[in-house]
Amino acid sequence: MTTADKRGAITLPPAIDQGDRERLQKTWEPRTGFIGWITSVNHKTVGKRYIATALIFFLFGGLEAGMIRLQLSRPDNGILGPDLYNQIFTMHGTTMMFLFAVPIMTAIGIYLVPLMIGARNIAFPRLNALGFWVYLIGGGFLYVMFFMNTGPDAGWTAYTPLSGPEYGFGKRVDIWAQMVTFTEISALIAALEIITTIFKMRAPGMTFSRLPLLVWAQLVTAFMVMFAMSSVATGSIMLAADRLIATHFFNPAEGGDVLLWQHLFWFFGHPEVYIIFIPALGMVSQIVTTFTGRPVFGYPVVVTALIATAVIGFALWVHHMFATSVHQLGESFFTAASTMISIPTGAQIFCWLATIWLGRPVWKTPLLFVIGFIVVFVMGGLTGVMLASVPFDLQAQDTYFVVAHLHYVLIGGAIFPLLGAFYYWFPKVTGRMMSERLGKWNFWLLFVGVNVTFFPMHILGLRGMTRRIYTYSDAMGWGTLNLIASVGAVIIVASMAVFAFNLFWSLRKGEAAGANPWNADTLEWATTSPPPPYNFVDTPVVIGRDGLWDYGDEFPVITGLHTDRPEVLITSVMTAEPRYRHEAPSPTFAPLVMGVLIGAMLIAGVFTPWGLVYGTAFIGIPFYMWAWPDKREHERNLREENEKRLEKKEAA
Amino acid sequence: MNKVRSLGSVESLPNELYGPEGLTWWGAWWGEIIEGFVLVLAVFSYVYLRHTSATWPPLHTPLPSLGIPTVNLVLMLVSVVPAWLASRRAREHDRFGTLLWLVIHSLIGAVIVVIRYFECFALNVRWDANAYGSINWALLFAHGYTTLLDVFDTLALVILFAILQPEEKHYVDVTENSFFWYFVVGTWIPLYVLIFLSPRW
Amino acid sequence: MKHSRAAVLLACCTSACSGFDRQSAVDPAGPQAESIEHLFVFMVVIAVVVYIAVIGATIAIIRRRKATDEDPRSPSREASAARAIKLAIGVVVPVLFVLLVYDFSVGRSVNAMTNTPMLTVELTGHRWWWEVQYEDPIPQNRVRTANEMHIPVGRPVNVKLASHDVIHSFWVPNLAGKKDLIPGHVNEVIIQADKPGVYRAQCAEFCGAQHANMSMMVVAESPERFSKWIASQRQVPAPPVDTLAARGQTVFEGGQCAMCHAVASTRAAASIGPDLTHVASRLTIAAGTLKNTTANLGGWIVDPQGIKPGVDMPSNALSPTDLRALLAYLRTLQ
Repeated sequence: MTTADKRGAITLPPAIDQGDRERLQKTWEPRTGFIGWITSVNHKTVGKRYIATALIFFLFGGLEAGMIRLQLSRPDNGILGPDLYNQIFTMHGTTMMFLFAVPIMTAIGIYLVPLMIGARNIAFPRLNALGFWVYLIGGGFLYVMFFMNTGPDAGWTAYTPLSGPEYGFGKRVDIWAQMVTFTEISALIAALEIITTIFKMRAPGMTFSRLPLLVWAQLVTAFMVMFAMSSVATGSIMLAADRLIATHFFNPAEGGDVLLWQHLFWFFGHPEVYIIFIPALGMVSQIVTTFTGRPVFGYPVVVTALIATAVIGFALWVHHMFATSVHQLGESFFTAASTMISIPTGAQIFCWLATIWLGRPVWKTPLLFVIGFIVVFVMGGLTGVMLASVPFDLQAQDTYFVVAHLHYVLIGGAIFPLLGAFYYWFPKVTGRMMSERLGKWNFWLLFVGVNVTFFPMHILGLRGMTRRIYTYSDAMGWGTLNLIASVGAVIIVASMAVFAFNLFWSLRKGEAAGANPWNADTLEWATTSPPPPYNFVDTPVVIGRDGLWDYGDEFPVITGLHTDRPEVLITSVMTAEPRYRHEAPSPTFAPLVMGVLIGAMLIAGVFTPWGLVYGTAFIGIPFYMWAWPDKREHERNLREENEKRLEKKEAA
Repeated sequence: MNKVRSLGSVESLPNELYGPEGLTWWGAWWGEIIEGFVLVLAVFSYVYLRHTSATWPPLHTPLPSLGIPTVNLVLMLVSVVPAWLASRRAREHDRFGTLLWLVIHSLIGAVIVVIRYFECFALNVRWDANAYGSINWALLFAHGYTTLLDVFDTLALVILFAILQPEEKHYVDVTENSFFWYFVVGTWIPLYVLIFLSPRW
Repeated sequence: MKHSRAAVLLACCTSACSGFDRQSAVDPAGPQAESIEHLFVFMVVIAVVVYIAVIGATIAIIRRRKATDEDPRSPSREASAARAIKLAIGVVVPVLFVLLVYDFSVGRSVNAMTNTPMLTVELTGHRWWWEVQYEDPIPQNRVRTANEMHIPVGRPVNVKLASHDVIHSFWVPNLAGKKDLIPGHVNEVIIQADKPGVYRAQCAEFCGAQHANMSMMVVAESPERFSKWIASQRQVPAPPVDTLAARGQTVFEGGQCAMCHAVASTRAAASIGPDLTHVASRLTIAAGTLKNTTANLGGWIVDPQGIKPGVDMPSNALSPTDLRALLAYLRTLQ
């Protein structure tokens, strides 16, 4: 057993046929340069695009947070008036939840899952590329309108009737609702690909009981996305319809119900936070494994806990609605579920602590962030259990107590693991190591900053400070704590500046990493850093749960996939045995064109219902680009199919 | 790891498989799950709004007509046959047999979509009259748009089969297209009952 | 006044030992808030214990010195780890259960309706003010006011909640948890004060531009003083004797004021904005935003948009004499 600080102990295996590398490189990346990049259907290229875009939105969301803290740092402050403030806090929540957190977790899955399961690409690669364009156009549209003073201003939760046609003036909320449609399409696409990839494209021998924990987390999350995103999409389309074509879904005067929105939104909204949280748990599992030199203790417990959290996560949504007056029996159910969900997460944390206790921890930055995650997240989890109680929730709901809770769980539960993941996988993605020194500064500044910013908010909430207020008077006595929180925000900014600097500096000057600098066990470390476009020269065969740690000096593989055309191996769902060879698509403009069309259709749809009609009429164009076979490939395939048929006839 | 050993070759494996063994099926399947769940949520909204309404349909709102919708329901049930036959012929690699049934399928599908337009008016209430109107139009539209897209898909296959010699994967596409059509028809049956029959109970 | 332990703790945390807030969940002045505060303290204690245990374990694990030949996969140590985890879960689950039971019992007690006939107040939320009505079977005894609610100490009060526009939320933390005012729904919340005092309530559901400035005062007073207050609110104001005030009434009725505000037994009878019949008796104006002084009132009348940008009340360009007259008139509306 080697540890994460003995670099190079596990070497990269050779290929069966060395010439394959060059052939595969030409086949999988026929065009370079800008055209090659923009037509790429490679999951790594698309994944990196997603990550970069999500980080830009993270920056915007952070700037919005900074403005909020600046405005609230003193009573009766005049930096932001109510209208701008309301847009800014709405944009902060919307950006962080829809445009940063979910996309980045998905993106890491898009990048890592095929590598971790030994596949050449993700399933439905063109759809994958499309998903990114739709996300980019949706988020870009929102921000362009925000800069034109038409940003949404009804909160990221957009409760009706505030967001409805009567009180939501102009096009602000329509743009928000359509952005939701964009991002939900993108998330659903990614989810269905990730599930299909994990089901059908695992390397031979990788049964479900040998699946890396990050892959399990991504699988569970993708299922959640399928059911949660549909809910918010249904709601947002109904809201758009109420505003644009005078339907009455949420209009009590004509038989609609204001609370229908809340049910549809929170049925999505609660699972949404688990959609953000569970992939992070997967990252924690991988980091703990590598940096303790042993697999996570209690694998079946961790897997069961992931699934239990996802399932129970769908049974909590009404706890956001306790103040609307819910039937007492129903209330009790949601309280019980909201309390019990802490148990599977707690079990996972115990398993990780046991792993660290049993193993040989190497205290590099990724493991530091895991510890930070435990310390910060558990605080948020405990306040979460408190909020599950209806009587207490009726005091704390819609106050800064909840703001404190949600930031502790989201920053602790998602950002800390995410940063750890960056430090861990940056070498694989770029071929360079990030600076350890800067990493430690990054960590400590964030740890201190988060606590200084958000702990006082628990107290503020209990002392009466409600949420979403652009100012407060001096007489309330909230000034000191708000100032402290704002100072904490500056510390967080410093931490993020260190992170950004580390990223850019390491890209240029970071130490060369090699294939497996951490002596990690999962399959992505069995190829070069960065991986070639085809991921693996020969398809790995998996012989145990511990990946590379199971092999001795010999790396078992399977050969036979074509090298003159992109081809992926499809295996069976339950037993991971090879079943057939699927021709993967080559780079193409089709996803971009389809994305632009969908974008135009949805943007037009904000202003006129005919947008959908016109858009649908033009769908044939990108569809043709997508579905019509390339002439040469078509003739080649027909020829080969004919040959195969003749061979079979002769053999018979 | 300094050595590598091949445990075998996958050269002899086929290039396509039908049904859940193949990748395309899963694309169709998840599409059905997602769309199906959206319809479930729309049905939930229908039930929720009905539950909070004193009468259903609300006062001064007539019941939906049964004539056109029932015609369309029968057409939908009938359309399963050409879809199934196209799928059968596809598995047998019979290009022109498949094309024939695809053409019939898409024609019936187009008629269904056109009638769906009139079905909306058979509701006898506008989408902007009240919540009852809104949710019924929403259900018809959600299902109708899915139907329309599937008919487009079928037409695309018709064009492909007419112009090109189909590859194995195109035959698989036909079977998945029919698989999705069964979903379209299958989800319509409970929706028909909910929208056109249940207000009468 | 007896202060709760939690309030003391928090006050020390914030080094604001000078006084206690009028809008605080940890300074309960009524049975529901008190019951919730006890629950809160209980939960905090459990949370602190659990947190110290988890962090303590984490630190101990981090700092553990290991022998270099220790096997990370040793079965005996794995068995110990398994036992420790089972123990931890075995402790956490019953604790959560106890918490649930206590929580349900508090929930029930907070929601319990009493049999005594209760005072009923109707609260209607508007963007961005509170309409308060006291029901009574005799129409002349009904009281309409705004942004201030008086309740008798020691008696439960049933507050019926309705909304004129969007969702608002009525929250007076010293007395009870919050409840939403939802258009198309009627909600109720029972509040009770056991100590006299002025408790501040604030809208707790984002309702638009001036959500931050939508507060009201809940004044709890002895039953005798409450009866006196209700009696005075029922009285119709006499026409002003002072000439300046009389001129002020003319300004009021003839100008923009009467387009939105009502004063009983005058020609101003609109109900778009708060009822001003007894405006001078209130502690605050502009939904709890400003103290009710003549200067503040004058500033508010002339430029409401400067104080609460986005409210429905327009600016009023009044000549200085008219303004003085108007203010003199409003002062008579006790």
